[in-house]
Amino acid sequence: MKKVKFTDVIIIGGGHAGVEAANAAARIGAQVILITIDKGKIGEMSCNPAIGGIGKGHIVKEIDAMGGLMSKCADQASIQFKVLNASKGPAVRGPRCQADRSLYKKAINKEIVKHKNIKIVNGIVESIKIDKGVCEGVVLNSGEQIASKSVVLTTGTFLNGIIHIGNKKISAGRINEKSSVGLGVFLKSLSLPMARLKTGTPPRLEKNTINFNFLERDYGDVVPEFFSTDTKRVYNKQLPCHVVWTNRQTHQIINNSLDKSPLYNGAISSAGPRYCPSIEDKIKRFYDRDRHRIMLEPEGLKSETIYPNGISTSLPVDVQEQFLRSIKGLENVKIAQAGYAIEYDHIDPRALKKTLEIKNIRNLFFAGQINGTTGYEEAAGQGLVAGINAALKVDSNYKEWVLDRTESYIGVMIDDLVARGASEPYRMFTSRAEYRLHLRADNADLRLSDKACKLNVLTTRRREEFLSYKREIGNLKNRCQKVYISPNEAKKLNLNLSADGKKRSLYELLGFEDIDKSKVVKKYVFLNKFSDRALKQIKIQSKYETHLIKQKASIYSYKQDLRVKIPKDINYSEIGGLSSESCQALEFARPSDLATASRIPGVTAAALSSVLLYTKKKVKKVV
Amino acid sequence: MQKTIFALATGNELSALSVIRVSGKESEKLLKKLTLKNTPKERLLTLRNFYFPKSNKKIIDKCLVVWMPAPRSYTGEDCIEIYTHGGDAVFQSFFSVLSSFPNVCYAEQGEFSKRAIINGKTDLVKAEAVNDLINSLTEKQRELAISQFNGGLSIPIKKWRKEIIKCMTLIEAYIDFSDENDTPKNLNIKAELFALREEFKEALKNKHYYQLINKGIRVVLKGKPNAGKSSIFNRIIREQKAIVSKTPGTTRDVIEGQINYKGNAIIFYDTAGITLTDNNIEKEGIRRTKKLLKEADIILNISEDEKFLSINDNTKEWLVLNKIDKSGNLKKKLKGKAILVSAKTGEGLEAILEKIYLAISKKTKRFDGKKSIIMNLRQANELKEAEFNITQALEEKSEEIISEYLRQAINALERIIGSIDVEEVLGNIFSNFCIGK
Repeated sequence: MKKVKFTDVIIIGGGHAGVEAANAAARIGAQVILITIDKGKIGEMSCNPAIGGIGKGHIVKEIDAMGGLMSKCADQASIQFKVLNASKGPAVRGPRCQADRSLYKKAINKEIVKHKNIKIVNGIVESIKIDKGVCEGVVLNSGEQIASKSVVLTTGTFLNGIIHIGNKKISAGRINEKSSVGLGVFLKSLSLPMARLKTGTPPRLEKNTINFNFLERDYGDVVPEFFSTDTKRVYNKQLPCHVVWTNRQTHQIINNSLDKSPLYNGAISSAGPRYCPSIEDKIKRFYDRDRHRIMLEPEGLKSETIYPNGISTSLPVDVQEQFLRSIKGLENVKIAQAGYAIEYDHIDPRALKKTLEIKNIRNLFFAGQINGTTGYEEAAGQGLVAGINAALKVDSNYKEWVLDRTESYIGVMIDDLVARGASEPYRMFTSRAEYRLHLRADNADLRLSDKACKLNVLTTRRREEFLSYKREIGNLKNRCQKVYISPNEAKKLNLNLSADGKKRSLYELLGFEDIDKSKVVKKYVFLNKFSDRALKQIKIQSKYETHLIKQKASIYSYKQDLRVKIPKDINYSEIGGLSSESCQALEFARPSDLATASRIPGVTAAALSSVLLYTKKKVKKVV
Repeated sequence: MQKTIFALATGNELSALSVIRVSGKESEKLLKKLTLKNTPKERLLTLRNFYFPKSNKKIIDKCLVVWMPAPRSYTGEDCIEIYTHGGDAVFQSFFSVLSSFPNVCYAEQGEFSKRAIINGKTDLVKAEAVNDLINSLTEKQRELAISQFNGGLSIPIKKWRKEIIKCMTLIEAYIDFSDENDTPKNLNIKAELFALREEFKEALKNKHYYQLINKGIRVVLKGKPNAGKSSIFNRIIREQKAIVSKTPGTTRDVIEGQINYKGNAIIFYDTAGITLTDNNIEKEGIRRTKKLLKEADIILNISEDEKFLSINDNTKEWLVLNKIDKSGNLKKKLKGKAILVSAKTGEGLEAILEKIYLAISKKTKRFDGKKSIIMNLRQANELKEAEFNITQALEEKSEEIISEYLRQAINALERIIGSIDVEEVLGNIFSNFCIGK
């Protein structure tokens, strides 16, 4: 037997969850070993060349507030910045960028390699060492063993992945990459609850075979919005996207070949995302549409391939080429890499705690697509939480570190996953967040950076910048609340208020869309002392003020329910008055507290009262 | 910030006293603002005047109050209990005054108990016992509530909820998928929301049904002075409650008496006869009578003389001819045109009661099949809350804020039917408690 190595935290996988977990654990001070099948693929963007978007951009901002990786690397790799929903309210605006794949990978690798606490190991994990329900390290297929305090598994779609292109089936993770069958078999032996999902990706196109003349261009924002507060400049040349449209002929071609699509001929039965349908799905389900939009996204500054967003497919390659060539601008297009559908195993996230530690094996964490999510940002967000907890495990006084749904999108996601599972690949939407007006991209730092300071995971410069910004916001709000303005005076600021003679504070007035900012600053010169960013923030807070106050009360009562802990060893079948449906649902999810229990489908109010009653009785007996 | 809650802790039947319980951080401030005096010594019953706020000392009630600072109170929070005079009017005044303060609202069902449990003041086993007791005492009301729960208001509420969710779906698609080109470019839900609001308004009109059943039907006796109203009144309630004399205008104030007839509560009001008078006391009596006539479910227009019989015979106002013992002829002549009674002999009084009973049956039957019946003040308030939020949504431009209003509207509807809601879990648990306990 080979010599056993020791480390604090092992991360299996170098995707978005893996690198974020490694980085977070390292920042806490843990010694980290990151094991990957292919060192060259660390930080690979395996699907679309973009980061952020509506809901997703919120997560990236939160990662930044915690001092994470994804935000700054995306900024460094961005070849187009664009805020989605820019015409809508600030709470639902989603920052997004087109990212150069190779630049992104480079930025991630630099961060991972340069960190003195992270060591990268090229290898395939064969099994995880578990003794009496405690995870103790991993065994590589070379026979090498590494012992650790905790392990974070972030293997993405590598688990029993099967790629479908037409009738061809290839066992793999991503195309041209090996999938970790051995680890899959091992995980099966742990009899964790598993399920199968599918997702798809479109073909990649050779850029020089596309006729870009006459194609509609889609440019980024003139004033870019960065993900990271550390970013002060645009790093790269900015590129436009191009828009093309499918047509009736395209649809005809796809329709005629549906029997060759594994999605329709029965080869794939697992559930795919409803919100990201394949082109086959779109044609079949929305047969009355005469065209669908395809966004041609550049894969990088020097890249020779284009990513056609909107046409993920598993049709045979010749059909893919045929339907693509029916599209204006793509008449002579060549496919660089075929589109495909992939089926993969994931664990049922209801088996996880909110720390992403699996409930029945101590010190073993799961993060990313393996938990049933989809998307780089969702994966990275989980990586952050799992990495932090995996590192905190080193401390013998370990206390769970969780984000709840009242304070972050990451919290919403994890709460949804552990309470409700994933019946389709889970993607973030702003509508999943009931405290949406509070959980904004623009205040991610104000929501989370205090937590980061407590964990001591921010650089000194960043921490000081944050604390001074926070003070600035406090001062500015305070000053604005003390200035009172009559409707008459407001008129001079371009505001038409009802002439009720009621004086309103400057803070209140700043929330109105129509207020003339330059006139305000002229009249109230003290505002000049404050930064633009602070002023913008105060405007937004003021706009939502009445709703934020209301939400505070509801957040309070939610937190009360969070405080009612349900004992880990609770035996639901022992509780009287539980319907069998509620009992089953609770038994499966084993929620940690009453708030989480309330979000489990099938659990009624009556069931909750029984659980609470039982819990209180139990606790009382112990005391 | 947790809200300060209040509720009527005693039953809502007519009684000499009512107890209003207030719990939460604002309690002491409320007490000071309403009594315009310092906080009384803790745990000591103290007499205080309660005034309408900012009203230049317009009094609400003079009553005993006790101040119980946290943690030595039922809920473990700052509490006050106000021992007001009984009756709905006093409570309604307190209700509107208290709820006008920011962060103060009427308690959810069982909310005091919930807070007591959260603050460790009581445990669920004890609470459960109290709950059983309350349930056994009000078994009939509970039955009524449950039958209502199964087939009543919850049906339209579910429908409304669905419709609001439909609108929300459109908004959310508009927000979350705006970059995907397949969602509508414009949001148009105004018509739907407008229609919903109209339905809420319509339903709110039905709120009197509950009163009809639970509080009783209100029958007001009116007529010229000395028509014998008080005699009939005394005879029906079987008590010499109203003073009877030959002097016209003896009854000046409104006198009230309740009877049970075939399981229905009927409240009779004897009133001052309406006449032209210079007497200030009589004038005030007439003013009160007129007010009551507006609120009445049935008016008995009593006359002793055929000449005075008004022609105003409608579904609400019935003609009653008294003193028919005096003239047998009259009896024959007017049969079918008016209810003929004799307060002296009691003849015809049973017929009045029977006719009232039929009217109640008819009135309630109108509602029996109807789904949108509001049972109580709480439900009416929630429905009003829903209506308010829809109105706000109709005026708002930002989609994410419209969505927020719709979410609030749904929450309000869900609170009525008691389905689970992220924020209200514990509240629902105790929904079988009566308010204020």
